Amino acid sequence: MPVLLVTSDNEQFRVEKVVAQRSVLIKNMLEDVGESDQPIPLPNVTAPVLKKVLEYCDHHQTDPLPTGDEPSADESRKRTTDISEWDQKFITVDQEMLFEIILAANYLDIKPLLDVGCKTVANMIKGKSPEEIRKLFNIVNDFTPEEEAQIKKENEWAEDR
Amino acid sequence: MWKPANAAVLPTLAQVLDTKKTIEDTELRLSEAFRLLKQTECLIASLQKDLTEQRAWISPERKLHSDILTTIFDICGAEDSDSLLNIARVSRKWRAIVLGTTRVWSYLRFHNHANTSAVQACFERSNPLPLH
Repeated sequence: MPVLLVTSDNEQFRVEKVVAQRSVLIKNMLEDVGESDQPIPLPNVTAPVLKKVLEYCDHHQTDPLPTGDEPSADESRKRTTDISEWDQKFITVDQEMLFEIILAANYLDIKPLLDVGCKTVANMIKGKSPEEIRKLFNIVNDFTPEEEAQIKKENEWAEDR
Repeated sequence: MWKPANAAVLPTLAQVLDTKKTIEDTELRLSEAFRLLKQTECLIASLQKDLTEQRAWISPERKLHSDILTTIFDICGAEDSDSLLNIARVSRKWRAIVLGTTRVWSYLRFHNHANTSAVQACFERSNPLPLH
């Protein structure tokens, strides 16, 4: 039975229940309302982002749902190399879309997608200097010169490691 | 561009006087050019600052709340402990998150010659978690 999802910009997406239920939020909502053809509003997700998220859910619809109690789950979640080829291709998007996907995955409670997004950002950060990171993400250096000096002093030991 | 009337011949007295006036004029123009250059450099610096502020204002990174950033930093720390030190120097927000996340500091790896203050700092920041 298909499910009707409505985005913040009022676009409707009719998707198979098994696909929509990759989102724990939607799964719980469906369980709460029971059998109903009521549209499910998703006020925090825009149509272009939901389209991408649904592409992920559709591809992974037969994956086992993460239970969170596998012993290796926590370690695996942290390994940036653990991104499948399909996921890597899927997440090769511009920075704005990448962050929107992460936010949507967090809101919709789709842990594997959140992991892929976070690992991708972690990969972008790794090996970069603070200035390179600022430039990459357009972050302003808001430390005062005094704070900069203090941080440098604190971190002096790091250079001796 | 200025050129002498005849480079192979010495200038006459009138030409010397005339050239001295030209030199004064050139010096004035050069000084004006330097003033304009300085003004342009100031304008470039100001525009670059504006651009940085404007890009930062609409940066998608601002939307990521601390829980998500904590997860990202956790992943960084688990694989490349040196990243944490760089992350803590990016901005006040990132520093507050990374220093407030005790778990990430437990991943820092040390070489044999690590000094005790380094280990001590990580131990304090990872409190109460053990170092890996």
